[in-house]
Amino acid sequence: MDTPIPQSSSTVEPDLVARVAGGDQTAFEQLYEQSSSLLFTLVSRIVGTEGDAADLLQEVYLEVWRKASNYDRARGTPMAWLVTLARSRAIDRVRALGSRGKGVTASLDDTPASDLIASNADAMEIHAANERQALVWAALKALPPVQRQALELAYYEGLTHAEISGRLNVPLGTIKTRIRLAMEKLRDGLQPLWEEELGLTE
Amino acid sequence: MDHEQLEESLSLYALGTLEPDSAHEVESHLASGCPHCDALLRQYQGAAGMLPYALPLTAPPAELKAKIIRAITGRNDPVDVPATTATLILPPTTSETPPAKMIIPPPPPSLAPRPAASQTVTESFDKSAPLAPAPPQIRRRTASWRDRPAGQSRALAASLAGLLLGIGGYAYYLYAMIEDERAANVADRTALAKANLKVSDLERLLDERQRNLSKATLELNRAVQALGTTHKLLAKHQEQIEVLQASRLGKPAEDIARIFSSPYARMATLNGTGMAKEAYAMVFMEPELRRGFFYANNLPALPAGKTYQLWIITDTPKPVSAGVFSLDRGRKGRGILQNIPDVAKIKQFAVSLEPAGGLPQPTGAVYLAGNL
Repeated sequence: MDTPIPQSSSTVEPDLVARVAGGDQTAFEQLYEQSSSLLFTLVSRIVGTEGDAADLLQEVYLEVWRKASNYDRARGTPMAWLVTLARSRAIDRVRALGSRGKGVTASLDDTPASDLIASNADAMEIHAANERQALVWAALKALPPVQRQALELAYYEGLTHAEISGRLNVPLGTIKTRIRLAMEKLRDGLQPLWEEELGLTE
Repeated sequence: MDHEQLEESLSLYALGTLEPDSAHEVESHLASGCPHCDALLRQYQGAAGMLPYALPLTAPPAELKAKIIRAITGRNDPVDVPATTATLILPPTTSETPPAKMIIPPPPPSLAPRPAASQTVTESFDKSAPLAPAPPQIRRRTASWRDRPAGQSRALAASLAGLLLGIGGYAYYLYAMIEDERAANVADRTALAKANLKVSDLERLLDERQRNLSKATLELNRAVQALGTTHKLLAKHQEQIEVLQASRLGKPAEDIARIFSSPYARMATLNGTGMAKEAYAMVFMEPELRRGFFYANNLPALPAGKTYQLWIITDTPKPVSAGVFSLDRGRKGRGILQNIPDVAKIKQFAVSLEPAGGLPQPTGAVYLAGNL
């Protein structure tokens, strides 16, 4: 118990985004290194196939290169900005094609804890991302199953509330309530993590 | 929507799942400047931004990076310098900067001979300037030869008179003239010899300067080589430092990695008691390694002289201490568990408030508890 656990370090610094906005290519490459695995993972999950995900990710990073000056530090972490951008492009793509990612009803329950340690990821990245991954995973696991299911369908699959309601045969209002309650719990549980990323707790 | 409904919609808006009409309504409310909703939205966005971390990470195809870089630079050649190589050569850590600064100064001293040498060479060329008038001296002599015809006619007239006076006078005149000529010749030759001497001096000087210059060049080359070696050494040191840092960070992180990558890993959730309703904690355990990872959040700040202590309750009557922990600024507590008892026998976990340093048996109030 007395062994300190190192603080996670593989996050994107707000200053790095500022350098990308200034046209610094080295900074852009660094930003790619620090964020591409997470964004690729998310985008793959939403669009369903890794090939489509790679194409989409390229578009996302080109947009990041052009629009890095849009990032506002006051609005959140750079990673949250990147995740929001990648996620909305992925959902746009899925809606435009009228296709859905495979395993729509797949839940985190199907993801064994062992998968949290990706075998092909860079060793240092594992060290840094490890604790954060474990905590987010655990925070989701701690949600009541119906809330988690609704949240996962909305977030990872990009389904609308109406779609979730139809799929689960549960009233629309109930779906909204479940997602809202899940988000309230996650907000409280994960706040230290993103505050740490913004350097608010330092 | 009234304010309460707007507030309730913020989490859905942060997820991007709100219907367009409602989303516009939320946006115009935020634009009107509601600090409460603004802060709340930021918290939901922060939480939403964390959600991808729960997925098993997959790296994108290796060639994607080069493709994107090509697209932004409009170049067709492959990416030249990966960022990682750059960091090896130019140490990014502040502690490494001073050595780099110390290594760069040496070149000036070793470079110094070169400017010094070239300066003296120029100087020696400048010194040749006073020698330049020497040739005019010779030319002046030559000019006196050119005057000869006039002097000769005068001598001729005199010699004619001398003929009348006697052969001896003429002979003397001739002798004197030759002697004059000889003296002039000697003076010329001396001047020439002197000039020659100066030229050879100059040549010797030039030679010397050239030797110095090549010596300086050699030294410079050696210095450049040495600098290259130093750079290589520096890069190697940097590498060693990175390896050391990685291994230092590695230990606990590896432990966590092994706990999570084990198919036998178990998890227990601890909930806050009446003492701390907001608090929760998780314990992850690997039965074979008998190691675990503990994480607690939202516990009340510790009073002075107190600590939180984690207890494992097995089928034996007395709880076993798993260690003490304090909270960081984000009110999180965490740690690695070692030598966990047989997981099959663990029934419950609990966290109590104890005097600093912990006790062999729990005495204080229980803040967190959970069954396995």
